Amino acid sequence: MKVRILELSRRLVIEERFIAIKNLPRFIRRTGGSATEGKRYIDRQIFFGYNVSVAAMIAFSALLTVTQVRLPYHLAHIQTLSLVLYSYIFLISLYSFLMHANVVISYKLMEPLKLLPTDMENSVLPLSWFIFTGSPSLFVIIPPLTAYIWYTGNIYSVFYGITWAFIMLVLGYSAGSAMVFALNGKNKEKRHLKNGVIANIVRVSLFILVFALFEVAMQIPQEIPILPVIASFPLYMAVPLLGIPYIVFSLGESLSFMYFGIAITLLYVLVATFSFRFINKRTIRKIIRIEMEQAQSFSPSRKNGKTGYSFYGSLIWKDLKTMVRNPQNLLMVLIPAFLVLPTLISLFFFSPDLSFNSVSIYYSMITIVVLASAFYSITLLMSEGDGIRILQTLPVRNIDLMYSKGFVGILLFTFIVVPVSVIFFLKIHGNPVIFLLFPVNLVIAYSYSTLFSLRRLLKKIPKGADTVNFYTFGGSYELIALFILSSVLAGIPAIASSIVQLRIPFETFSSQASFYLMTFAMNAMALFLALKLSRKGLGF
Amino acid sequence: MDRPSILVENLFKNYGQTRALDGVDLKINPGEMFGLLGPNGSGKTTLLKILCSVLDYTSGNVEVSGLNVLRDSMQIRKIIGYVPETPVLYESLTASEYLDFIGGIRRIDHESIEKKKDRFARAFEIEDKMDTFVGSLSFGTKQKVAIISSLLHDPPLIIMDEAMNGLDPRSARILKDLLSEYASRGRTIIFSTHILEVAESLCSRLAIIYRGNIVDSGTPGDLKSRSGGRKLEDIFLEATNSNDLNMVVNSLKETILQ
Repeated sequence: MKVRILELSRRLVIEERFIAIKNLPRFIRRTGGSATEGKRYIDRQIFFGYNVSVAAMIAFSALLTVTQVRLPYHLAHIQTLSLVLYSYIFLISLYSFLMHANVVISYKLMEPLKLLPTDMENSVLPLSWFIFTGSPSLFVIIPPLTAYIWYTGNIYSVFYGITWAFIMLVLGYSAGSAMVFALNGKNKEKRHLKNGVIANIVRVSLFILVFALFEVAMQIPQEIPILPVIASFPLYMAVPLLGIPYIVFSLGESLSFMYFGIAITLLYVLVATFSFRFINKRTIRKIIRIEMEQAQSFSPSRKNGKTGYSFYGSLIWKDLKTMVRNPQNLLMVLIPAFLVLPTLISLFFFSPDLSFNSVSIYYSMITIVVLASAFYSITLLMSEGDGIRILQTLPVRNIDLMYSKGFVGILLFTFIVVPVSVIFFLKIHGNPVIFLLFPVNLVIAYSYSTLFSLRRLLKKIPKGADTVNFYTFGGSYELIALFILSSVLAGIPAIASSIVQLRIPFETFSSQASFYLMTFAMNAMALFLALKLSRKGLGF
Repeated sequence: MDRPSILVENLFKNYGQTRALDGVDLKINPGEMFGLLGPNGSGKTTLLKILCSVLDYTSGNVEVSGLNVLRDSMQIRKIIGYVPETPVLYESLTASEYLDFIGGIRRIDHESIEKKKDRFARAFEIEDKMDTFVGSLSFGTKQKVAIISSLLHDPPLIIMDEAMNGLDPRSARILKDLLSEYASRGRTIIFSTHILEVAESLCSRLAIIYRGNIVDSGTPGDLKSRSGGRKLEDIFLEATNSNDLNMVVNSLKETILQ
C-alpha cells in the first residue's frame, strides 16, 4: 500500500508536468512521441529540477552564512540568519503548496482517485508535494548549522536544527492548506457572486493582517504587549519563530535550557502534527469537492450586466472576471502583497530609523515591483489554463494578449501601490512632486518589466497547446529567471539616479525630488523602449 | 470556377516519430457540406485543427479560401467558426458573458450579439441557462454554447469536430437543419462525426480517413454504388480494416464473460 501511495504521488507530479509540456516542441523533439521516452524525460526533469533546487537552496544559504561568519560576533549573526531562514522555509512551503494545489485543482488531478475504492488521496497530495516540491527548502538550514557546529562543536544543534526545519515546513503546508480551505468557501450550492467575491477578498485581507502581526512581532517584539513579559530566558524560547534560534543554538549551554528547549520542541512537533492532521483531510476533501463541482458555488446576482465590450475590453474583462471569481487565481494575484506588504507595514509603523527617507522606501517598494511583475505575468497566463485552446481559434495575436494581460496586471498592481503610497506619504509629509512621482515611477517600472516578462512567457506557449500551467514555462526556474530579469529592469533607473546623485556634486541633483524626476525620466525611456522592442519576435 | 474553400495537398503531420497525417489530399468547394469519417485516432481532429490554423503541419500545402494556413493565420481565424471535439469554455464566465466575450473578440456590434444570443438560446432551449456559470453547465449545454459561439460572426466556413456529441435529439435536429440552411446559402461546412446516418443524410460529400490518410471519398451515392449498394456502415468498416469484428467480439465473450 505504501509503495502504491509513493507511486501515485510520483504519478501526480508527472501528470502536472506532462499536461504542461506535452505540446512543447522541445518535448516532442526529444521524446519522438514515444510514451516510454516521454516518461523518462519527465522523470529526468523532476530529478534534475529537484537537485537544482537543493543546490540553489544550499548555495543561497551558504552565501548568506559566509557573509555572516566574517562579521564580529559571528555566532549571534548566524543565529539571526537562521531566524530568517526558518521563516523562509515556512513561506516557501506555504507558497509551493498553493502552486501545487492550484495545478491539482485546475486539472482535476485527484478525480481519478475519487472513483477508486480507496482513501489514498489523503496521503497522495501531501506526499507528492513534500517529496518533489517542498523538501528542497529544508536544505537551506544546512550551511548555518554546519558553520555553528564548526565553531562551537555543539552537535545538539544538528538534531534540533533539522527538527525545526521540518516543523516550519509542516506549518507552512498547514497554513497553505488552511488558505485553500478558507478561500474555497462553504458547501453552499448557491451564493451570490458579489458576496462570494467580497468574502474572498475579506478572507485574503485577514490572512495579510495575520501575517502583518507576525512580521511586527518579529521586527519589534517590545511593541506587542505580551512579549516583554516573556522576553527573558527561557520563556523567550516559546515565542513562535523568535524562539527558534535560542532552542537550536543554545541547548548545550545549560541543563535547564536543554530541558526547556526539548519541551518546547516537543510541543511544536505536536502543534505541527495536530495542525497537519486537522487541516489536511478537510482540505483534500474540499479540493476533491471543488474538482467535482467547479464553479457551482456562485450564481450571478443580477441578469446580464454591461455587455458589448470592444476587442481589448473583452480580453481585459474576461481576465478580470476569471481572476476575481476563481479563488485559486485570486490567491496567486495576492501573493506579492501577501509576501511584502506585512513587512512594509511593520517597517512603516515600528521602524525607528525610517528617517522619513522616501528614497529608501522607493527601493523597498521595488521588491513589490519585482515580485508582482514575475507573479502576475505567470499567473495571468496560467489563469488561461485550457482557455488557451479558445484563444488559439480566435483572431487574437500574442501581442494582443501581452497588452491586455499587461493592462490587467497594471490595474492589480495599482490597487496595491496607491494605498501604500498614500499611507507612506501621510506619515512622511513629502512634497507634492514626490507624492505624485512615487507611485507613477513604480507603476511605470512595473509596466515595462511586465511587458518583457509576458513577452518571454508568451514565446514559450507552443501553437496547438492544450493548456497552460506553471510548468509550461519551466516551473520554478522560470520564476527565478523572471525575478532576476525584473530586478535588473526595475532596479536600473533607480540605481542610476542614485549614482548620478553621488557622482555629480550639484545641489540640484541632491534632493529626493530630483531622484524621483531622474528616475521618472529613465523609467519613461525604458517604457518607450519596452513598447517598441517587446513587439518583435512575438509571432502572430 | 470559384477557388476551393479548402485545398490540402500532400499533407504530412508528425508528432515526434508518430505520423498523424500521411500525405492527405483534399479539395472542398464553397457551399459543400463535407463529412469526415474515421475511427478514433485516425487523424480527423489533427486535420481539422490544421485547417483552423490551430496546429502547424510538418510538410505539404494547406489553403483556406486561398489563404495559406501558416502565413495568414489571423485572417483564417476571422473567417472560420470552429467547434472543437470537447467544448472548452471559460468556466468562471456565465454562458451569456462567454458569448459577449467571443462577440467582442470578433468585433461584432453589441446589438447584433444580443439579438443572435437571444435567437440561438431560444432555438437550443438554453435561455434559462444563459446567466449560469459555464462550469456549472452539463456537457450538452456547454456543447450548445460552443456551437453558438462558433456561429455568432456568421462565418463563411464552419468546421465542427463531432459537434453532435452530447446534444439531445431536438438540438441535434436543429443543428442539422441549421447547417443545411447555411450550406444552401453558400457557406462551406466540414464536420467530423461517428454517427454515420447523420453523415449520410446531411453531407454532399464524405471522406473516410484511416491511419492518417484518406482511403475513400465521394458523395454518399457514389460510395454506395462503388461498393455494390452496401450500407455506409459496411463501407466504413471495410475501409478501416474492421472486418475482424466478429472475431474480436467472440474473443471478448470467451475471456470476459466466461
